Amino acid sequence: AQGSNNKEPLKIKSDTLNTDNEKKTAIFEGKVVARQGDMTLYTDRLVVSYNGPNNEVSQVEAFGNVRIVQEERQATGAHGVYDPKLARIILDGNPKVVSGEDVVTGRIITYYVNEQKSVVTSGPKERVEAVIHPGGKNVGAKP
Amino acid sequence: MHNFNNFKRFLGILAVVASLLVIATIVFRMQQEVAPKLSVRKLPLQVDVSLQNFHYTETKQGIKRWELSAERADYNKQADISYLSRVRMVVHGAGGLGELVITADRGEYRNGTRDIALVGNVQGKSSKGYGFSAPRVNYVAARSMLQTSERVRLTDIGSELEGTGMEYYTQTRKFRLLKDVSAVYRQGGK
Repeated sequence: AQGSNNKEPLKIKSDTLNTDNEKKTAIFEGKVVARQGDMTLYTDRLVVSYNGPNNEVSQVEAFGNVRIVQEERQATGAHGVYDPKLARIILDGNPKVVSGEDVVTGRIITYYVNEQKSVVTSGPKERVEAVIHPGGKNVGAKP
Repeated sequence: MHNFNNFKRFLGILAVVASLLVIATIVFRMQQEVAPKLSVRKLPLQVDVSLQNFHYTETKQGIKRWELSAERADYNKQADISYLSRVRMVVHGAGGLGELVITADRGEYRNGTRDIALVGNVQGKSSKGYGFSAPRVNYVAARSMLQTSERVRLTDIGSELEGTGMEYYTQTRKFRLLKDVSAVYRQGGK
């Protein structure tokens, strides 16, 4: 159910975990799978930072083979930073978002977790590219 | 006349036997009073010393590092191990890390290395709010590290972590889970 994914519990599985209770960071490594609501993130290494009296998750940073799957949408990149409060993931390292048959690439993609929306930014060498199939299943749905 | 003499001899013997009996009873009674009833429990074969309310403090450069207490400690000289029951260990943290209190049903304290095996319902609780539980944890004194190969569960405000195998560095409060990790972070610390 989109709209409040970022308020759901964040569940993570991995091979190993290193934590530092003083710095309030937890580093998950090895086949990391993180789930929150209907979104699933796969990556090689995930660094969770938390703060405040209730140890709220303030940032989740993914390194290596980042793949986000959420209903029809799938986003990939080499690196991603998730801000649960803003409910968005900033992807870089050849980021790509696929929705059905439509594909968008660019230098940086901001992927919105609670909305069917992504914002693609170009760079000196990477122009924004989009392949939209008119009349495709996703008529009207932006990748 | 002859019968009368026999009767007199019989009475004499009877008197001697009776007085011997009386003397024997008195001596036996006296012995009973002299030897007090032994109240000390008989120690099992391998136990050389048994202590109640055992308490040990480890300090380094005058700073208290950790304390170990137990309801009972049975020391085996040959193995140089104290076998503890109802164990409580307090690890003091430098630099405001606070205390870490660990309890367990049983323990084994190796006097030579100062390593401790904590066995049965091992629970750790930090003054900062987080804690852990495992069936068995070893304290490796040389590395100030708690270590286990068992499944461990760690809880903190807003999160629960689980894994198989743990290394917990008591002086920095960093720890590692070595396999099959799963974690849940609740937003809003619920």
